[in-house]
Amino acid sequence: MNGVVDGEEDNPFLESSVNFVSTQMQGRLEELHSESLVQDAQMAKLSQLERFRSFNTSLTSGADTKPKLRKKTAVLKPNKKKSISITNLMKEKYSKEAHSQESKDKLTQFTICSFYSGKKGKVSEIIKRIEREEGNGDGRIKPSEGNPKSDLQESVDIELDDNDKLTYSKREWNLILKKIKVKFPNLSSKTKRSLQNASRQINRQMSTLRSGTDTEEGGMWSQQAGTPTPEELDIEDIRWLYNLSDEQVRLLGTTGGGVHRSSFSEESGIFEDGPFVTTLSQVMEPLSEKKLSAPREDNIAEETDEDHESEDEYTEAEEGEEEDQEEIPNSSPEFSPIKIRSVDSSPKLEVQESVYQKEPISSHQRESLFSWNTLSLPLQETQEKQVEMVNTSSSSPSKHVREPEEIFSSSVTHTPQKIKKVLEPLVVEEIVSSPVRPAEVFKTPVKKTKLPIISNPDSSPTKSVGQADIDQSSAQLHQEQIDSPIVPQQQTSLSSSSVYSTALANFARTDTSLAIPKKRYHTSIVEISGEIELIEDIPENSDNVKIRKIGTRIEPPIDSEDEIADSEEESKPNTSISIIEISREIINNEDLQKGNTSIMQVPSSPRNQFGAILDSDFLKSDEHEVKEAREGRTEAEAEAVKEEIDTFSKMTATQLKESFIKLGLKPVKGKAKMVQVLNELSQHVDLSQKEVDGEDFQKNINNKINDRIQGNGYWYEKVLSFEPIILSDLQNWLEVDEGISLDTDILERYCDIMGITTKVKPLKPLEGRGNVKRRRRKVD
Amino acid sequence: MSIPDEPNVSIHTTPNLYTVYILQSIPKPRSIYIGSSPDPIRRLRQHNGELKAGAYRTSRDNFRPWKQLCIIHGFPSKIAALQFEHALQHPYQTRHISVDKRVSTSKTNGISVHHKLGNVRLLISSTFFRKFDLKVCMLDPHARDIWVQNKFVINIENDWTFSDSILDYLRSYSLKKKNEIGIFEKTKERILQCPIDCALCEVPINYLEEQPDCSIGSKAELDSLLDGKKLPLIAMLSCQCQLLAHLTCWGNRSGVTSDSIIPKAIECPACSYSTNWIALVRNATKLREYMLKDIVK
Repeated sequence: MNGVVDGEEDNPFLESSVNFVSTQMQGRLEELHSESLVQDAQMAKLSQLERFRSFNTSLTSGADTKPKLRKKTAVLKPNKKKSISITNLMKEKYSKEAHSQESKDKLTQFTICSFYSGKKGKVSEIIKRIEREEGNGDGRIKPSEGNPKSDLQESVDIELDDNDKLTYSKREWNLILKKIKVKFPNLSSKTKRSLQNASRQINRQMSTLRSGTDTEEGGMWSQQAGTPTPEELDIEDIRWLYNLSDEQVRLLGTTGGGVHRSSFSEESGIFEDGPFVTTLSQVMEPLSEKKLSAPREDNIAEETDEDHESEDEYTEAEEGEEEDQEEIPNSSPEFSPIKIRSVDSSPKLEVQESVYQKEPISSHQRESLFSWNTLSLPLQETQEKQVEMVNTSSSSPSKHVREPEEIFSSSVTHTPQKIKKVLEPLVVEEIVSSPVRPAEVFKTPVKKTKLPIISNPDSSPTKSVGQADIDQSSAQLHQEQIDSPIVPQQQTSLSSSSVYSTALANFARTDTSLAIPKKRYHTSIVEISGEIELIEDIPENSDNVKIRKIGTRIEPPIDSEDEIADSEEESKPNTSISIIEISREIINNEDLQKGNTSIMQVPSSPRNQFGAILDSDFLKSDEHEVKEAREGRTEAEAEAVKEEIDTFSKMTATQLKESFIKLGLKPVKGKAKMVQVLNELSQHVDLSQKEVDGEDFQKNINNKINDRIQGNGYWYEKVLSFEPIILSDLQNWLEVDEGISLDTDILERYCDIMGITTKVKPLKPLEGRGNVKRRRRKVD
Repeated sequence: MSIPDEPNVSIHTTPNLYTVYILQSIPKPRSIYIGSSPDPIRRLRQHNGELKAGAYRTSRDNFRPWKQLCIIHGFPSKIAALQFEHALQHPYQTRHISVDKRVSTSKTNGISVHHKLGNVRLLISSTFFRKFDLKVCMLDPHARDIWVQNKFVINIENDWTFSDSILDYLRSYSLKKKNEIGIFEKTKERILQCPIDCALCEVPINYLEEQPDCSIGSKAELDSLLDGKKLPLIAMLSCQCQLLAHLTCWGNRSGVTSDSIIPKAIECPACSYSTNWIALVRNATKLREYMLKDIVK
C-alpha cells in the first residue's frame, strides 16, 4: 500500500492516497484515519492560536502582490489518488485493526499527512513567494528558527516541524485564509485555487470527523442533505476566496449559508479533483423559497395573475383554434404555483422564475452539478443576464432582444416581453379587416419586403437550465418577433392579452401569422400617350389592383434627325403623356417579374433599334423609352415593352436574382446589369408567362440559337463537325448579325447542352525564343 | 492533322482515336495519374521510361512502372478530350459535375480509385459529354471489379468493356473501323474524279476547282476559305448506296430539336441503313484536311 505521492519522495512512510469509487468505503477509511489524530492536532494548535490574536491586520500597501508565475506546473494539484481494489482495502483496514494502535495511528497520521502536508508545503511555498514579492518579513515569532519567517509562514510551517503532525483544523485554516486575504487581497487564481483545494480538504476532514463524533448526524448522507453552514469564514472571505460575483454572493446570502462545503462532493468520486460543487437543487430551491421574501420578488410580474386572466380571455377569444387550446394545459400547471404579489413588470424575470419553478429537479439531475467556483456557464449567465434584464428592464426593454430590434417601434415597451401565446387569431383578424392605408402602399416603387426574422431557439438570450427555460425564452422571443410587424399597426389590442404557449405552438403559429400581415405590391409606372382621366372609384378587381394617376407630361416635339415621326403622331401634334401608376398586390409565390405585362415576340430588327436598349443610359430616361416606342412599333407594343422594362428596373436586386435563378441562370453582380440582361432576354424570349421556368427558358433560347445556326452555313458546318468553337466569336456573330445578344453564361450553357465544344481564343505566339513561357491570359 | 508553326492555323479534324487514360503506380498503388493521348500504348511506354518524353509526375523511379487502369475514348475532338481530362483531374470544381452529385469534394478527399472511377461515371453521363457516346475500357481486373462495384451508384447508359491487353483492344477497335477507312478512300476517289452533285441539294461539288492558289497563312484566310460554300464538308454514307452529300444537308435532313443540333446517326433515304454521325464527320473532316494540307502551312 505504500506508495509515493506527488512531491513527497522524501517521506517513505506515506501511504499512497486512496480514493474509492464506493463512497462508503472511502468514508470508513477516512473515519479510521482521522478520528483520533485530528482531535489531537486540534488541541495542539489551540495554544498556538493565541499567537495570532495580536497579529496586525492592517492592510499592507499594494505592491503587485501577484506571485510570479512559477515554473513548477504542479501548483496544488490534488494528490493523484490510486484506487485500490476492495479486497485490498479490506485487508488493509482489517489488518490495520490487528495492528497495534500505534501503527494505526501512524498510518492515520500519514494519511492525513498526505492530504495536507504536501499541500501545506506547497502552501508555504506559495506564501514564501508571496512574502518574497512583498519583500516583507514581519519578523519571526518563533525564536528557535534561524530564518526570518512571516507570521503566516510560521503558522503554516509550525505543523510541519511538529512530529509530522499536521492538519489544520478548520478554524485554523480559516484564520489563515483570512490573514492571507488581509495581507494579499489580490491573489493569483492559482494561489486561490490551491487555497480552495486546501479548504475543501479540510472541510472534508472536518465533516468526516464530525460524522465520526456525532453519530446522531448519521454520517455523510445526512451531512449532505443538510444545509451548509459557514465555518467561520465571512461572506466576504468566501467571496474573496472563490472569486464570486455580487450575484453569487447574494445568492449565497439568501441560502442562509456559506459555501456548500459539505462533503457532498465525495458522494460521487468524480468531483474529488474538481472544484467545489454543489447541487443546483440545493442552491436553487432555497433560493426560490427565499425569493419570496427577497426584494427582488417585487419584480416578479403580476404576469402570472395576468396570465391567468388572459388565459380566460384567450379561450374566449379564440374560435375554432384547436391547436391553441391544446397548448394551455401544457403550460399552465407550471405557472399556477407562483403566487406572488407585487406588480412591477420586469417580465423577463418571469423567465427566471420559470427556471426555478418550472423545472422540478429530479434525482437524476443531481448529476448535473455546477461548480460553485465559477458558477458554470449556463447558470451563471442566466443569472447574470436575468439580473441585467432586471436592471434595465425599465429603461429599454428592447435592448436585450437581439434580432427583432430593428423592427421594434419605440412605443413598444412591455408587451413583447410577456410570455404569451401567439395572438394570431386576434391579430390576424384585425389586420385583414383594417383598410390598407394608401400612403404606405404607394410609397416606394422599390418593394422591400420586410420579412420578420425568425430566430433559432438556440439563440435565445437566456441560456437555459432546463428545457422549460428554452421553451419559455424562445416563446418569448418569438412572440416578440411576431408582434413586431403587427405592433405598429395595432398595438393596443396586444397589451392586455398574454397567453401561454410552448415552443412547438409557436413555430406553427409563426408561419401562419407572419404570412398574413405581409402585403406586397407590385407597382409599375406606365406612360400612356394621351390624356387620361381616372375615374375616382375604381372597383377593386380580384387582383386588388389599384390605379392612380400621377401626372401628365407634355412631350416635346420631335426634331431629331434620326427619328422619323410615325404617321400616327402627326395626327396628335400636342401629345401629352399621362403617367399612371398601377399597383397590384402580390400574393406569395407569384413571380414578380411576370407582372402585369405580356410581351409580344418582337421580330428581329436591325440593331439600331435595339442599340438603345443595350445602352446603359437607356433605362434612366423616360424620354428615350418613348422615342424608342415610336420607331416602327405600334404603341401597344411599346407600352408592353416599356412596362416590362420598367418592371425589371423596378424590381429589387434580390428579386432580380431570384428571377435569374428561376430561369436557371447565374445571377450577375449589380442590379443594373441584371436588369439589362433580363431586358435583352425579354426581347427574344417570352418571359411573361408565369410558368416560365429554367427549362422552358433554356429551350426557348436553344431553339432560337439553333435556328440561327442552321441558317448559316459556316456556323452550321462548324457545329456539325464537332469543331471547337470560340465562344466569343459565336457570341459576336449572334449579336451582330442576328441581333441576339446573350450573356456568356447562357451561351455556354447552350453549348454544353448541344454538345458543342468551346474554347477560348488562342494566344498569339510570343516572339523570341521558343522556350518563352506563354503568358496567361484571362478568358474572353 | 497538320501541325503548323503558328498554332492559329489548323484544320480541324475529328481524330480517329483520342484517349483519356488513368494510370496507377504499381509500387505505390495510391499514386494515380490521369492523362490523354492519341496513342495510349506509346504513351505508357513513355511514362515508364522506355521511350523518351514521359511526364514529370511519372518520372520518379520509385513510382515506376505504371499500369493502365482504364481508357476512355470516342471524343470528337482533341480539345474535348483535354477538357474531359481536366475535369477528371479536378472533379471537385469542374462545371460538368454538379455540386450535389459530387463524389470528390476537395483536392484532398476523394482520391481513391473508387472515387476516380466514380468521377469517370459522372463525367460520362454529364450534360456535355454524354453527347459523345464515350466508350470506357477497363484494362485492369482489379479496376474492373471496382468499376463494376460502382460504389457510389452512378448509373450510366454507356457501354463499357474490359480487356486484358490494350493492344488487343485497340486492334479490335480499329478493325471495326476498317469500313470507315474504305469509305474514306472511296469518297476521295469520287470527289477527285469529277464534279459531283450533292445527293440532297443537287448543288455540284467541285473541290478541285475551288482550291485557292496561294497558301493560307492565317486563320482569317482559312475562315474565309471555309465559309461553307467553297469547300463544304462532304460525307458519304457507309451503306451500299454510298450517297454523297454535304454535311449540312445531312444535318438538315435529320432536323433540329431543342435538345440537340447535332444528329446521332443518319438513316439512308434509300436503304435505311444507319450511319453514325461521328463516322460521317470523321471522314468529312479528313477529306477536307487532305485537300487542304498542301495549302495550309
